[in-house]
Amino acid sequence: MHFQGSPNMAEKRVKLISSDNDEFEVDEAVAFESETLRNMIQDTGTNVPISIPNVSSDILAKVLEYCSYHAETMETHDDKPPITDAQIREWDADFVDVHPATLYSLILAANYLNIKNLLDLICQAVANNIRGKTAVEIRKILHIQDDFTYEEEMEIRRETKWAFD
Amino acid sequence: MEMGLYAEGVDHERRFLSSDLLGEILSRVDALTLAKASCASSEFRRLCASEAFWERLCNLRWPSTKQAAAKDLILQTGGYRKFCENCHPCLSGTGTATVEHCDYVEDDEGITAVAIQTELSSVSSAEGLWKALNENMTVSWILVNKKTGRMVNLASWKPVDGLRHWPCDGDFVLQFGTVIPSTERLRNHAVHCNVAAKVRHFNVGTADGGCKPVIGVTEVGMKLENIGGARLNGRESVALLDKVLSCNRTVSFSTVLHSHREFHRNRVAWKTERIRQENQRELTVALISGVGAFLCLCYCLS
Repeated sequence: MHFQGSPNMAEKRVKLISSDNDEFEVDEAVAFESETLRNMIQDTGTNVPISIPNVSSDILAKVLEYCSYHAETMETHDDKPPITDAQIREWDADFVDVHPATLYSLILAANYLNIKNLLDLICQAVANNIRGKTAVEIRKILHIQDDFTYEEEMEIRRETKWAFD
Repeated sequence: MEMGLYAEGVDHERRFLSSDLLGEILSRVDALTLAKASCASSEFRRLCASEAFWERLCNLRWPSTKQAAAKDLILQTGGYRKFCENCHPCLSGTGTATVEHCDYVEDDEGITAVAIQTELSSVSSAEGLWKALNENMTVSWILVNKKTGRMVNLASWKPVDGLRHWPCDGDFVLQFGTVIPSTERLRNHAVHCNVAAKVRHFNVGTADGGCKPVIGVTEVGMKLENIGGARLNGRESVALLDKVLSCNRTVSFSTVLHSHREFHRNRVAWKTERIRQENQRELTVALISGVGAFLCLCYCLS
């Protein structure tokens, strides 16, 4: 798979390998959106393929889609009008309009690859997802276990009584 | 299809989010969600206890809580979480409690803070403005007893009623009133805590020669009214406000609205009954004086 952040072919390309051994080739500028990849490339150079063992192909493809779009918005072209902030916000909103399970995997990937803007975007999307939900639904969305004892449960119900009607 | 695939992928992996990531998410939710999230697991309970989240929510909801005086007050009376828990809900207007004892002579430290927030970006017509005010303007009137550390929000978040000063279209009065349950002292009639904000809408010229609509709050006031609409005197007010600090609260606006409407229905019924009683009294007086005059006349003639 190829992701182009720029039509400039003279730029360096970086090879990335996902957890299920798919190979992705992206422009250096795209990979540089990720702090982790930037550090790795600066250490090893662009010749060696970089393996990302804890991100699967479908999630990595999604992350790179984000990185290539945002790398593109940074560039200025003479022939095209610049992308406005409103357009970027709209694109971002479409990007996070996915299944909660995908968002969950994306958080882990964005955290590992250290892409701050993407992490902020997804955390906000997850926060919007859990807004107005009950404790049971929140547990399901965020994959957490109910580990309260009966006494604790009673105590916490008393503490948070104000929030329930 | 695609979604199902992703979802299955996660179930196989079963990786958990670290506390840092959960914190990142929790720092972006509202007060009610934060409270509910703290019931999800013991880790969440620990995370949600962090004052930083509650401070952020307080500052968002009541921008004036950033000021040093308000900050000191909140920290003295038990912190941001307690402040949110007590002042986020409105008075539900239900339930009864009796005044057992209150030392309102010494209690002179109550501080009220009014927070008004308007987010009106583009308003074209008066109708649009009315709608925007109803949806976006929030007022809270917070009463804090420094000594006991108890606090309450006396206003409803959103307006429960409104008036427009016709014909000058620019002036509005919005009511954010709540109902305080009855006490024996007031013959079991509820008391209306009338928080009213006067708002003026006008246009100002911008630098580029255009016009920009501006909303200005001209007056905000709170008064306690009994069922007849008369203001309570100072002694009664202080006694009642002391009781209010332990009244039932609610986070549902429809409950607040319901108790407001019920109070107004009761007020109308009370007034009708009073007028009926007065009429009856007048009639009795008229009858008695009539009969008296007749007897006098008979006596004089005989």
